[in-house]
Amino acid sequence: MIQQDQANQMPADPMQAQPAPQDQASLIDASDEEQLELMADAISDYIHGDAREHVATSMANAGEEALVDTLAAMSYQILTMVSDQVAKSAPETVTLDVLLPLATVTIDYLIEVAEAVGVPVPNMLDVQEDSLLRMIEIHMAKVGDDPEQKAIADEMFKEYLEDGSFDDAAGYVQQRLKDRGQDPSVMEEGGKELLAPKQNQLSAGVQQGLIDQSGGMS
Amino acid sequence: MSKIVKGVKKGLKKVGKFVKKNWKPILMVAAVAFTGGLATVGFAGLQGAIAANGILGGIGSTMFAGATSMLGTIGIGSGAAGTAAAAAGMQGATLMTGAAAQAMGLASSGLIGPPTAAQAGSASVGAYTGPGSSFMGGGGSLLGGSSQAGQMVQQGAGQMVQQGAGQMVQQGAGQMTGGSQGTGGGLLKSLAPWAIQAGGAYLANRGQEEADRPKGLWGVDFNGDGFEAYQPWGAPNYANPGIAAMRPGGRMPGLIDAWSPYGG
Repeated sequence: MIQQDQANQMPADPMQAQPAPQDQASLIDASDEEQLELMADAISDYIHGDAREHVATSMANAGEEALVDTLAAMSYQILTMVSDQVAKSAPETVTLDVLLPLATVTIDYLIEVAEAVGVPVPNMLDVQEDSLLRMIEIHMAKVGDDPEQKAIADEMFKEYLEDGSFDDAAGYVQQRLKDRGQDPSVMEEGGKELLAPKQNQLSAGVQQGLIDQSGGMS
Repeated sequence: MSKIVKGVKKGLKKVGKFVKKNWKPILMVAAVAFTGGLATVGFAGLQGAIAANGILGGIGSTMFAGATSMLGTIGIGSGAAGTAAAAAGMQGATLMTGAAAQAMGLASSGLIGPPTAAQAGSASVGAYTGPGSSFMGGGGSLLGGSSQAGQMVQQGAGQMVQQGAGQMVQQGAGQMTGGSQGTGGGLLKSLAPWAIQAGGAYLANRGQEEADRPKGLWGVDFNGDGFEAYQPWGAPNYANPGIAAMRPGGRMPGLIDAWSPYGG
């Protein structure tokens, strides 16, 4: 069901004063962490400022049941806005290594608003994990067909396998599955199934029949 | 666009205190699952795994599948990666090349095919049509890299369709439509101080040639004069009142879409 748009209640967009430009030396010396802080501040201002009413309404409508999906979708859109704008002036900055950390604070800010409007967040860590991972799913839907992305991902993933990052991440997922009362073997079983989807008996029978038939004819 | 994935690990190490402690392992999981999933099982695989095993279980399955596929190409095996290799009977399979792995159908998402779970679909609980839909597009940005980037429609059972520019609509149980028209400008303005600094640093780091370029980053007048006119929400030409937050053509009111001296 499509609900009525609440757009008309949005407040005017006040101009924010621009700070005096910093001197060049401090800009060059600005660390990645400082730049992340600045971007995070901007996102915080946005979520708790201009977009607050919209975010609050959306979170209230989402409730506990749809909280994760809403957090993921909203965070993704906000980060998309950020990346699109920042890419115009500093394209070198717009990388996953910047946006993933930003995603964490974005999700946290949105959760703050959700809590403020009374949406229960019974298990914060679960919500944080699921929101970020759902966002990854959304992003993969967007770039999944890009061969260049795939090639880069391939290279990065190999590094993760070689340097132990994969083992750390897999260990964390296993532990968290246990914490959530799920069977950690789902990783292995699900992974195997992804690589070799179970054939149904009909298709297996047809396939075997074709093999037998071709064997008999030769 | 080539920067989208590259540097994840480097960046994750550099974020230091910025990322809260509880988030750090999740970030690593996200990076590993994203790269592993993208490299091997693809979106259909990830989506199917999530539908079958929940988000965390699906992510874990995708990681495992990615490792199992990839181990055939790099031949390592220790810890969880070793577990994946052993489970696939591939531990120490250093002789298997990438091509061989693909020929076996291990590394090609096309050959693996979408699992049945993907067809069953993951219910999109609570749909969201949010602010700044036009920002979904835009080449060269991390999250808007696809040539078709922009419209993402998640309808009902497990389908995600990309088309056109600038809309993100998730339709499921309880759709929320949000009109934060003008909020794009709000974020833009919020980002302005950062952009000025980042742009300055970028120019400083890119040498004299680029530093000589005009300093008006993006060619933007932050006062908003002379750029895309604001259109009130709910204008009569909206095809669908439910997505009235989006304007035809996917442009976001308040988004400054100026000519850029950098061609960006």
